[in-house]
Amino acid sequence: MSLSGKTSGFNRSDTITAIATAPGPSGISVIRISGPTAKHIADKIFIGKTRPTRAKTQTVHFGQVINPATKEIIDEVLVTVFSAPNSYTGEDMIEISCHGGDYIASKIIQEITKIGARLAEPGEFTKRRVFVGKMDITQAEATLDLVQVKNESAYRSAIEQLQGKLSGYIFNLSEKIKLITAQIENLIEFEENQKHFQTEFKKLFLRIKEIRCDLEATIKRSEELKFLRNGIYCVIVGRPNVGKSSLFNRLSEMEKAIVTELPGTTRDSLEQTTIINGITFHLIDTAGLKIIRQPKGAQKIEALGIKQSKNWLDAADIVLAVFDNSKPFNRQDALVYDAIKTKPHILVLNKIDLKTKFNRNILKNDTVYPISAKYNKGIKQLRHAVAKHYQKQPSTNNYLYLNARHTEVLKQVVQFLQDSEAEKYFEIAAINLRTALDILGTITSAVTNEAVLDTIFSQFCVGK
Amino acid sequence: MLKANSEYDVIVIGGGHAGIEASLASARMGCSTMLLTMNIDTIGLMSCNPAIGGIGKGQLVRELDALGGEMGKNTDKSAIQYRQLNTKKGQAVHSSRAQTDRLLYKSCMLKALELEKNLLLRTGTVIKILVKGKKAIGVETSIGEKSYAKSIVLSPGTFLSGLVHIGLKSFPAGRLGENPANELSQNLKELGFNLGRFKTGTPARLDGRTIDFNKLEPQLGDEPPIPFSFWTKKKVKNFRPCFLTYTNEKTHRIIKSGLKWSPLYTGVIKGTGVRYCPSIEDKIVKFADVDRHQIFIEPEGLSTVEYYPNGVSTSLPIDIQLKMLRSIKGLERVEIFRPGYAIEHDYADPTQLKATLETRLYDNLFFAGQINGTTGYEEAAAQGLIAGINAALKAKEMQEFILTRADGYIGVMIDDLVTKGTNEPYRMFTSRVEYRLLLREDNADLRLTPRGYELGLVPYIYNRKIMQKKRKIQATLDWLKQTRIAPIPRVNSKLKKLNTACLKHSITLEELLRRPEISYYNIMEIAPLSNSPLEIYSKFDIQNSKFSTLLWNVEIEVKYKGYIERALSDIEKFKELENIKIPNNLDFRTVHGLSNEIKEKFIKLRPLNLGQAQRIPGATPSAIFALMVYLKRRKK
Repeated sequence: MSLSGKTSGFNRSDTITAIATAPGPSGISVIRISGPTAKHIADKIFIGKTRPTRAKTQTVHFGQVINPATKEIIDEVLVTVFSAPNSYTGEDMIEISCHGGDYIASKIIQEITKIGARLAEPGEFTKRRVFVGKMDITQAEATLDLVQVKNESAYRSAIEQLQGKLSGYIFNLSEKIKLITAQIENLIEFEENQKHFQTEFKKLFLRIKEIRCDLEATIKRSEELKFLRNGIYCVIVGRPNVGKSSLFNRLSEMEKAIVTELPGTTRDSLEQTTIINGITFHLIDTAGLKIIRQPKGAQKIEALGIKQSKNWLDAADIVLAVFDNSKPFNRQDALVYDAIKTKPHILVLNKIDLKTKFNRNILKNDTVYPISAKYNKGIKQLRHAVAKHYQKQPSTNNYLYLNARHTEVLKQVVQFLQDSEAEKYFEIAAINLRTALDILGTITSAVTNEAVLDTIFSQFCVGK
Repeated sequence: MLKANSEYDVIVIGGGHAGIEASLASARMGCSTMLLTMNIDTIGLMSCNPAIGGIGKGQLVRELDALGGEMGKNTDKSAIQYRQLNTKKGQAVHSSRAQTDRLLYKSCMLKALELEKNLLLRTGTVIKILVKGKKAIGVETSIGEKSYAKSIVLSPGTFLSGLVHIGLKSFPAGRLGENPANELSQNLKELGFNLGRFKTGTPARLDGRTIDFNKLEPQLGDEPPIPFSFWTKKKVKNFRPCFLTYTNEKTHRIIKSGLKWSPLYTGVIKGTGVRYCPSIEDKIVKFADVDRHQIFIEPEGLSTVEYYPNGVSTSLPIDIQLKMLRSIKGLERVEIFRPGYAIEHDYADPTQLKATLETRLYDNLFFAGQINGTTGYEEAAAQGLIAGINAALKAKEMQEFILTRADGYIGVMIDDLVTKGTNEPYRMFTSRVEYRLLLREDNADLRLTPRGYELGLVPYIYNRKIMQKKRKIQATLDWLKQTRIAPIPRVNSKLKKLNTACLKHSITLEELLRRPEISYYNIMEIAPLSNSPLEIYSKFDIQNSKFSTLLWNVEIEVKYKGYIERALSDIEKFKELENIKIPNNLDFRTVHGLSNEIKEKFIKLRPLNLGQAQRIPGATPSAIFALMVYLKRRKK
């Protein structure tokens, strides 16, 4: 373990504070204070029937927040008092529910920081929770997921992880590896039954293989089902003017109430998120897809010119290829068709309201969905077809959601298990198993290097 | 010879394996030393089996030897059979073991002590440690003699309130036929030490004239035998075989029928026994599904017909002992010379010690051996050496000597004892050692001899030899890396014979040696010998084991290269925490964020650095983090 990384900014003897609710107009805002002086700070700025330092844990008190210097009332509030260790962070904690809007909350925060608390860093409340041992890292990650949750599947797996499903899996796995390590060590340490030790070792190596294969299957399954959490990237392609954008708009409009914008994208964004049958779809309109001609020697090679489109195509889980019913299948269409052939795709024939000039036979045995984006025809059927691709939704019972960090660690574990299976020197096999255990421990343990912790916790919002 | 005086630099109490190493180390470091023992005739007596070493224990002896201890040398003077254990389980866990002549071991050891000019041997039973405030200043014996010293090492073995059990009969004794040290035990309690009770045991000794050896499988020593000590010059030999036999169903029935007279199973024995070296009755009860247990019949010496049946330690009544033994193949007519017995004794919770083995309660008082809750000659001797060295350093007002977990098995053992304590007799294992790939028998001298030399325990000439050995190993490694071997028919036909792939193009010898099927001896047969460092190893040298350990070392360095590099980087990480020192005067009560429970533990154990603090049972990551943050802020 390496704890000798930087420790700046993470000082647990400080009292920290932050606004826990999202910025912007709202009914109420919640301010959190946590640390040894939390209650004393509350005493100074809060006027109510009971002083927070005298209040019982987990009790709510009505009163006013004042400017302690001028005695001027800032807001009417509810204060919830938590005494260590019965709080989120395990420290003394105060939550002030004040009227909504950023102005009042920041005014209160100003007073709190004047008295001695400092502004919390992103994720610092949860980090404290992890460090007092109230939660392991996977559970902290689940907390982060939970506040970003966008569909039922993501919600379910985050909740399960929060309740310790992943930690439980890791615990069982490491118990199994520990047992085998102990058995190998036992064979190394004792002379008795020397004659049979080769067969004993072989048995143990087979057992390692079993565990490794099982772990590999779990990782594979998790990767296959990642879309449940992350959503499905559905990319719309086609030559210009086939009606990609109108289809894009139609598909996103379908359930307008739950269409959300991804953070960081603008109103003109080519990406929209929609939920079909409980599954999140990220629709991407590749308006940038163009055909360019590259003169190269005698042959003029036509290629799909790609700005961001090629990347999108690579990242796509499923592609909607759009063709124009009113125009004959041309060279550009052929290029599009070629590019998507090997990906999971659905062919869409748009503009069926116009006279047919398109020869469907060219698209061979592929099913084609005829629509009219303009008149909203066939869109329902198309949506149904897209969703059907993912209907074989497994029950999440035996499915373990692994994020990129977990997957990376578990893949390393697989490698070390594999190394020990083939080992001729038994003490080396034991060392590989121990390394596998150490690495495995980093998934859940707070005893890991600072860099990993910082990465995880910096994704949190400030009040968590 | 040192003259009797009432003041010494160091007094060592107890002439067992710990006391011997402690007094020799202290005397060799130039301190006037007195070894006080209850009986000079039993100095260096092997109370249990007539063997030194074993898995994990061999490593301790090699380290001890590299640092200038006596156990390895003395073993070579008295050995009658040598064996390398675990040879098929990987080079890093190879362990040496030797059968010795019990009488010879003892008399050679006494001679070594007598030759030490700074050392006085004296018979006396210590009944009291004399203290002044928080300092130990001397000892008082049962005849009223008081002696004073700057440092005192206490290594009383099983003698502290020793209680021997045979069947349901029990009587106070330090060993069968010897008096216990009861007053001293009482005195330690009065001084405030927290004492516990452990149990150990030994089997009956057999009359060799009544053993039918024709029915037993002989077990021969290794040829050529590898000496235990790095410094042994004379060629060692195997003199006597051991023999192998097994218990059977009848034996197990007899033992079961005798359990109602077993002090162990009737609750008479209260002390915790050695889990890893159980009595035969323990084995029968705990491993009921095992239909037979192995017994080694080991010779006690060259000048005696007495044999030691290794594996049937017992405290059953004497008639059942005899009946049980006679049910075993080859022992049908056996007679018992001495009965087996169990012994309970006091030990002091080792978390009351610092890593120097000095007690936290009293300055200048050191504990070593079984008093610290360990079992085994080798474990005792290794602690004796460390206690003796630190007692001498303290007397000379010099800086303490501590081996860490990265330095050797000795470091691991002492760190385990003083940091975690033990709730059963502590035995060394290779799996306790995180860096066992680096801390091997073959390189104990390379690792530790320079440090023994700095302490004044190893003569200059030995240290120079180690430097030469290091250079030779390096030269051989370089040569292996630089020399290429071509895929010529002679080479490939040889490789075929060794069941390894033929060469298609030329490769370096290092690459060839990395193959699991290839040993260094094969390289010597295959490689062009001219201009190689191998030239200096003539046929005779290869037979001579000093060189074979050198070649062994080279082979491991090559074969385990990747793992060795990884272990080295692990050690670097380990040192990071080990190097964050915790000041002596730190008041743990002022560290914010520690639970009261862990605060108390830190106050009691006073970890020297963050690494040790982290190994204290119950130290949570958050506690360590809080402590680290505190230390970093303090520095500023």
